[in-house]
Amino acid sequence: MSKDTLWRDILTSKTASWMLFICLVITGISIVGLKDMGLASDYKIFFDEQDTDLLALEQMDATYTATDNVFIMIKPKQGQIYNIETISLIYQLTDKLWQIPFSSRVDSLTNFPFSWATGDDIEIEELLYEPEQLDLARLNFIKQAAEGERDLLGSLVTRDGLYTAINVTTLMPGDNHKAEILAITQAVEMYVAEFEKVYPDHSFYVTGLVTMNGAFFKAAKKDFTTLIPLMIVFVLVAAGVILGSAQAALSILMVLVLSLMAALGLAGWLGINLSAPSVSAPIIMFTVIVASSIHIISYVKRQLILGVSQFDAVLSSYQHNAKPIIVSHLTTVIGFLAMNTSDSPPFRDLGNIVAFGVLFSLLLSFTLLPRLLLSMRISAKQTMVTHIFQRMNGLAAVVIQYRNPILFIFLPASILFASLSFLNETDDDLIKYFNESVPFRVQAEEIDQHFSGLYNIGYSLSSNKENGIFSPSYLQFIEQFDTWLLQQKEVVITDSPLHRIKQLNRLMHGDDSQYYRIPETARIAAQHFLLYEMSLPFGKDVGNQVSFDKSSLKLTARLKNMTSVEMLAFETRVSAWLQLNNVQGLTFEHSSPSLIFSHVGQSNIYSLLQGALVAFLVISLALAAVFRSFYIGILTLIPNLIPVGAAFGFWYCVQGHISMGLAGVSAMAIGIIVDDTVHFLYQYIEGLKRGLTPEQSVTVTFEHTMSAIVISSILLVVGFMLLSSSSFEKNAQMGLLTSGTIVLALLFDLIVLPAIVLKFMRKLPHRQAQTQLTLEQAK
Amino acid sequence: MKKYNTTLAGMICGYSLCFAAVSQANTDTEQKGYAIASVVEQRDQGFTDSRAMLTMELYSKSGAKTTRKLDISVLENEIDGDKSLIKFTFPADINGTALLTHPAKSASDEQWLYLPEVSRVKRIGSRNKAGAFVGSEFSFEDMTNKDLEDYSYNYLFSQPCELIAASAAEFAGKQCDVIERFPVDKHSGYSKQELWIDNQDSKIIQIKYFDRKKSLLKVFSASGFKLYQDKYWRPDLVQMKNVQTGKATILSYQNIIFASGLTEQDFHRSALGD
Repeated sequence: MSKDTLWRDILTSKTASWMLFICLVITGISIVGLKDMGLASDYKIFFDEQDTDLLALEQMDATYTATDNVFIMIKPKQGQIYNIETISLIYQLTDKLWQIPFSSRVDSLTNFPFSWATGDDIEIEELLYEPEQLDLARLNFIKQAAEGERDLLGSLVTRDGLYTAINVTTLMPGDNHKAEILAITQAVEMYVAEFEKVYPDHSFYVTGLVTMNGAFFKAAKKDFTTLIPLMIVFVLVAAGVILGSAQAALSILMVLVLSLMAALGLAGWLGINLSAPSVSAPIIMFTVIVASSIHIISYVKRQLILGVSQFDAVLSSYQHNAKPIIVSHLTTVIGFLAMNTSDSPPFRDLGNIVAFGVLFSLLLSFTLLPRLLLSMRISAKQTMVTHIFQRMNGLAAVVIQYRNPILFIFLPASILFASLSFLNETDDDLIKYFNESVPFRVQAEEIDQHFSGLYNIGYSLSSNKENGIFSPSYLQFIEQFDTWLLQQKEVVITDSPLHRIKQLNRLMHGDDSQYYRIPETARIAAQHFLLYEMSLPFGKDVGNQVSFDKSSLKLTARLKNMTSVEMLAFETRVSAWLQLNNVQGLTFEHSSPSLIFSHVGQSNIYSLLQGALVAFLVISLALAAVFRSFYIGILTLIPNLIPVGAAFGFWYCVQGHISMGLAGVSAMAIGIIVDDTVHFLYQYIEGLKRGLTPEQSVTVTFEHTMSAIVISSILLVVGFMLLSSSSFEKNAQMGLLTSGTIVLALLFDLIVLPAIVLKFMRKLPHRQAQTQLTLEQAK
Repeated sequence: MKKYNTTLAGMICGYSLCFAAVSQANTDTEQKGYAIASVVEQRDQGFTDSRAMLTMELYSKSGAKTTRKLDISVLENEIDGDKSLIKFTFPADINGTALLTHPAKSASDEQWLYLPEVSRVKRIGSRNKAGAFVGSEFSFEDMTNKDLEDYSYNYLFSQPCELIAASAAEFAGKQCDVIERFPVDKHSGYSKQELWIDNQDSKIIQIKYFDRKKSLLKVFSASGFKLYQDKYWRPDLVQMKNVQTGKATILSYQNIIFASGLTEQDFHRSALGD
């Protein structure tokens, strides 16, 4: 069967109609899965359910009361917080915050249980029990109490008295995490807005884990609702302008939207929830799919301009482009599937959703798209863009002429530039997951300057004995550990029952400050603590710091805002100290949300880079198989590996930090940029097969294919640049770096790749030449 | 007038009626609610004193258990409210630690704590009774509710007691009145409580506690009721389940003794170290 009739059959036969029908049914069934698609709202989605770090955190949350919280910082615009207005604001807001859904505890300056003793009389009372108590004398009392109270300074008031904070601990049942998070954040926003109105002379800032979860959700939702419509408009306009045909643009859009919905639907069937990182999947998918459809349609368009009938134009476009399009779709799929090496589920979801989308696009590009193209009228008019790309020949001449300088100057220079990429530091910063347009980021950063916000590590130190925390040797170890921690430059403050135990001892000795020390016997400590436990107000049990059977306690080191690298270094140093100074019988565990983020961030960077490496190898092998030449497979590495490296080198010059989202860029980018190489090589080899000289073949390839390559690359660059407007900083950086990579790759494909083939691939690989010959003979 | 109500101490001590109180109930259901609460209180008056040993088992969400043991004595006091003495006997670290409480009608309660390790009595001034009692799911507030007048009441409905799963067998065929009560003290940890009361013997079978934001927080249930002195019904097992945290506390009573002849002397601070 000749190639012509083969493609005619594929596009128009009855079987083809059946194929189209089956594809549409599959697509339709997948789309139904959209009903199960949701937006995730929990930072824990960044971890596998069986992730050991997450399990450690959940274990700690089970031993001690969970640390989900909302942290509200308040600053009077003028002066200190110790004035009637501010204190009564704190009192009222504290009262209100008890109404927050799922709140289990509210800690503030005014409801702090303050204790003092005169002889054998011990008084324990909230700093402001009744609002009527508030007068100048009480103000003074509160000020003095706060300034001398270790459990308040740095936690709920600053040493300079300019800032105060209220911490709300929440206990979510977890039946509908998203609804619970939203209920909490909305209530907080409502109360804060209300208080901002009543107290215009005060500023309010909100952070905390629940707020962060809410911010993840909001960022994802915002991206979803703004970027996708933007993308659709972009595709319509771009395709319309380039192809000079609204109908062509619409046909692309139809394939796109179907692929998109089918991919998301399939993800829904598989139980994947979109989250802040994976919400960029539709945008990436759009970009990738539109770039490859352009190859088919721009060829059709060019044929139409040349005066070929529409039917023949479509037919010859498929004939001409089918193989490279299939190959390039598959390499793209491989690149995105390589993201499955990620340790963090949202990045795997991202890769998989895009891979689904590209597969659906492949299906539809060979079934639905040709039908659409055949049934609509595409104008044969020149457009400005098509016009410009006819000048490609000029570039071909330049490249052919200067191929040696290109190879010997441009290539080494690029390699040198790429080597800069190794200077990038791996780094991940929780707050910087969001860009500065997100209120959460701005407020969290402000709060971090005065209190220790999100960064901390909780150490659970177990005596492995019921009531073992009261033993003097255990407490001495805690004291030693606490003292050492406070000497570390990263530590802002520590939090543990140790201070309480020492203070109770002082209280029991008539508030004599020389008794601010660990009690002499475990029995005394236990009896003191019993008193303390019996006098706590509602919600303020010690369960957040002491295990249920009093065998272990939790010491939290509150840290300065830091990067994942610094965090891990600190963690290692502390663990080493604990090993060195350990007392027999004690065991420790440690965790915190910010710590496990540092872990996943760091390990993800490496796992994604490994994935990229695997993608490179698989794609090279695939190309070797496609072109039936190992030599070509190796050659393709040059124009693909180097731009990725150079882009990271460029990143070093701009930013210098690689976070977990960026590491995925390499895997993702390789799948995309290799497409251009495939298209170029395929047409070049076709040229050689037709008996053209290498120079002629390069010129023809420039003429026929380069315009599509340039257009699709530009579309990709613009698409990924759109992503850089995401309020989720990871997505934005990913978009920026990927578009940079694509630009560099385009440069390589335009300049270096032709020079390479002219130098190293002047002949067809031997075996292929043979096959080709027999085929020609058969004809 | 103060009383010990409904739970830990309430189960073993009793109630004294507040005759002086004037009901502020307005509507029919409010009056009916108040009336039911009054009957519960009346049934328990006149017990003079009581003692019991009890085992307190705390359960974590994952089911881990830790145990405390304590002796509780109560002396009926119709004027200011019942005096109570709690002595811990287990674990060993706190063995002998004792807490004496004299409720005061107009001021905050007087409390003394005896620490055996240093043989000293400390007077404690604290108005906080809403916190967890020795890490259990019972708060001091649950145990030392003060006065019939500390709540406003509302009658909700009546239903067969056996609808409450925990009490199905024991209360087969009995009818329960369900009333709600709202604490007057704004420092209370609760916005309201719902009580299931067996309308024949006025046994409190179940209480649902709602937190300040009106979400269900804890469920109290009592079972194994026995009749003492032909008049006072007491359960030998009560459970408090925190539905928000998944933790629970179970109290089981041993040797409940009524009218054993305790005197004011036994409830004086000087008797704490005995």
